[in-house]
Amino acid sequence: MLKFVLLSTLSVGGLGLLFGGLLAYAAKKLAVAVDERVHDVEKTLAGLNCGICGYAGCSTYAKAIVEEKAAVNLCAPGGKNTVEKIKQVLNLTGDHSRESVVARVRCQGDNKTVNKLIDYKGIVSCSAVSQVGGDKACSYGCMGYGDCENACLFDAIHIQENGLPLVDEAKCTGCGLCVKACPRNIIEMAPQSAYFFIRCVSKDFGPVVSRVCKKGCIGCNICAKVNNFEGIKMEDNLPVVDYASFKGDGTGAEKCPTKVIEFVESKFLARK
Amino acid sequence: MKHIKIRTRTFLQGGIHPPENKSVTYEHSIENLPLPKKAIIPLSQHLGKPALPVVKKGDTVSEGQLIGKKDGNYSSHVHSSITGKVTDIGPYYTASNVKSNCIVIQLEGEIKRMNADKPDWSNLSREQILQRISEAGVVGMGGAAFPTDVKLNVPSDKKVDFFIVNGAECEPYLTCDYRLMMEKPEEIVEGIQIIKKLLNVKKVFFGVELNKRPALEHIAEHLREKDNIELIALKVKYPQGGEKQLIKAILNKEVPSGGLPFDVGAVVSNVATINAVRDAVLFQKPVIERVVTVTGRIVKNPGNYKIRIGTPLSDVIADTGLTEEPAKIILGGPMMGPSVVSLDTPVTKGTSGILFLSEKEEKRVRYNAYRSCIHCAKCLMVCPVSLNPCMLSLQGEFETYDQMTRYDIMDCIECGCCNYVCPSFRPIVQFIKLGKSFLKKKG
Repeated sequence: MLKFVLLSTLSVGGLGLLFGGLLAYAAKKLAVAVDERVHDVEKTLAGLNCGICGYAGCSTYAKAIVEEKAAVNLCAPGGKNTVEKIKQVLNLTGDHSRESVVARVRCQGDNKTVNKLIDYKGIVSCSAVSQVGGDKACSYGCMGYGDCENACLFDAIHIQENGLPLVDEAKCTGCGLCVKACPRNIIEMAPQSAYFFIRCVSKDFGPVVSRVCKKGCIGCNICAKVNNFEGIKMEDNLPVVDYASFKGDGTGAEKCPTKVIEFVESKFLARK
Repeated sequence: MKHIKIRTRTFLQGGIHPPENKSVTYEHSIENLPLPKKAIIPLSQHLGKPALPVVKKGDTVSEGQLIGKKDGNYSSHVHSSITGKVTDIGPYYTASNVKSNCIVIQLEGEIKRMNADKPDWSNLSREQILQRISEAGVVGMGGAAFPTDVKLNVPSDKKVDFFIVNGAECEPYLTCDYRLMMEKPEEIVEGIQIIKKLLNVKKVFFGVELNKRPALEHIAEHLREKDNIELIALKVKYPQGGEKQLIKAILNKEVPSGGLPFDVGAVVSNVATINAVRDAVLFQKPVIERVVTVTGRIVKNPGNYKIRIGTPLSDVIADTGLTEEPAKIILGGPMMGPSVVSLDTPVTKGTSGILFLSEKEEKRVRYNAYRSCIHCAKCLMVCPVSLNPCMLSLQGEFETYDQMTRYDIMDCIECGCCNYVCPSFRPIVQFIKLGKSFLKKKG
C-alpha cells in the first residue's frame, strides 16, 4: 500500500517539478519585451474602448501613440486633460495633436424647401428610406429621419423641427460616427478653423436641382471663378473646397445665386 | 385530357393563399395598346450591369433596332420599341424613387411590317439558337429578369434532366400569363420544343395552378403524345411561381442553399419568356413589347394589354382610364412589386402587371405604425424557405445586421408571406432587404 502511495507521489511530484522548470525556462527565454510607456499611456486614456480614435480599443491606440503613429488628441471622451497627461507621460514638448474637426451638415433642403414626393410607410430610418430612393424630391439631400442623431454618442447632433440636423459644435468631438451613419454622405468632417462651406451635395445639373430645391447648388461655378480656382474646384457639378489651401474671402458666398455657401466671418477674421 | 396528372401537387413548407382578385381581368383577351408618343427605355432592365448605349442624342432609330449593347456576362441587349428620334439619354425614374439611365425616343416616321412567314428552325444549331436569343435581349419575364441566354446555356459539367414551364402565376391580380396560355398555346408549345432541343432534356413539366383550369385544358388540347410534355395541376398557393418552390412542388427536390436549379438538374422558365424565345428564334424579333395586366378596381378598362417596352404609365392611364385618383401604383404583383413615384415610369421587360390601388385599399397597409414582435411564429409557419423571419426582423430592428447571417438571411426570396400574416404589421421583408444590403456592402 505504502509503495503505491510513494510511487504515485514521487512520479506526479517529479513531473510537476520538470514542467515547472520548463515553464520557468520558457518564461525567461521567450519573454516579450513590453514598453512600460504603453501601459502608462493607456491608463491616462478614458478607458471606454469606444473606438472613436479610429483604433480597436484603448490599448491599441496607446501603442500607436508610443510608436508615434498617431496624434495625441484623438481620445475624444478624455478631452484636453488626457492630452496633457499623455504629454507628461511621454515627456513630449510642442504640438503633437491633429487639428480637431467638427461635423458639418451639407444640405439646406428642409421640409419647406424640398417637397415630399412619397407618402412613405415602413421602417423609420434614413438607411431604410434611402433603399427605396428616399421620400423627398431631391435624391441627394437630407431625409431627416435621424440616423445621425441616433449614432451620436455625445448628444451633439439633433434633427430640428424643419427636418434638418443641427450640429452643436461645443459638444461635437469629431469622432465621425454620424458621417458613417448617413447613407447619403451629407455630413463631412471639416477643421475647426474652416470658414467656407458648400451646403449642398447634389450632383445633378442646374435645371434639375432648381426644380426640386431653391437652395441647391446649380453648379454655376461662380464661387470657384472669383477665387481663381485656388483651393476650390468643380467636381460633378459641385464645388469642392480644400480647407487647407483655401485662402479666399466671402465674395464667393455673396455671389452665389442660390446662397448655398455658408461663410463664417468670425472664423475668417480670427484666422487673419 | 389524358396528359393531365389528376393528383394536384404543391410544395409542403409554408405558403399562403391571399385573395386572388384575378376576376378583374380574367376574361379580358389580350389587346394592343396604341403606340406611345414617347418611349423611355431603361438601359437596365435585367440583372447584371446596365447595357451600354450605342446611339446618340438626335439619332433616328427604327423599331427593333439595337440601342443598348450588353456589358458583361449577365447583361442583356436593349432594343428600341418604336420608330423615332432619340431625344435624351439620362436618368429617369424607374421603379421606386430610384433613377437609372434611360434612352428617350420620340415617335416619328413610318413603321415597317415585320416578316410574317413562318420559318423553319429545326436546322439551326445550338449556338445559332443561343445567339438569336441573346441578340433579341430575352430576359426572364416573370419578374426577376435574368438573361435567358445565360440561363439556357447550361455549363457542360452540369446535367439537366428536366425543363419546367412556369405557368403558376401565383401573384394575386395578375392574369397575363393565363391569357397567353389561352391565346397562344401553339406558340408556347413550339417555344418549349426549341428549348427542349437546346437543353437536350427528355422530360418537360408544365405546371399550372388550378385557378387557371381553362388554360390547363386548353394547353392539353394542343399537346401531342410525342411532345413528351406532362401537364401538372398545382394547388393554388403563393409563392408557387417561385423557381425553387415550383421545383419542390413538381419534382419534390430541394435546391440547395445558395444553389441554382441546375444543381437538381432542372431549368425553369416562365410562359411569357418561352413565347419571347420562340419569337426571337423564329423571327429574330427582339423583345420590344410584352403582355401586361393593367388591373385594379379603379381602372375603367382593366385588361391584358400588349404594351411596348418603355411606354410611360401616363400613356397607359390615358388609354385605360381611371375612375378616381390612385393612392398607390404597383409595378408587378401586389406581393412583391415595387410602387412607383412618377407617372413617367416606363414599362420594362420584367413588368408583368400594373396595379392601381385606391385610397381605401391602400389604407389597409399599416407599416408606418408597426408594433413589437410578439413571437407568435405565424411567419415561421408560412415561410416557404423555412427561415426564421421573426428573428431576422428583430435583428433588423436592433441593427445587429452581422447576426442576420446566423439566420441564413441570404436564402430569403423576399416573397412577403411573413409580412402578410404578421399581426403586428411589421415590415419584415424591408428589414431583411436592409440587412442584405448592409451585408453586401460589407462584402
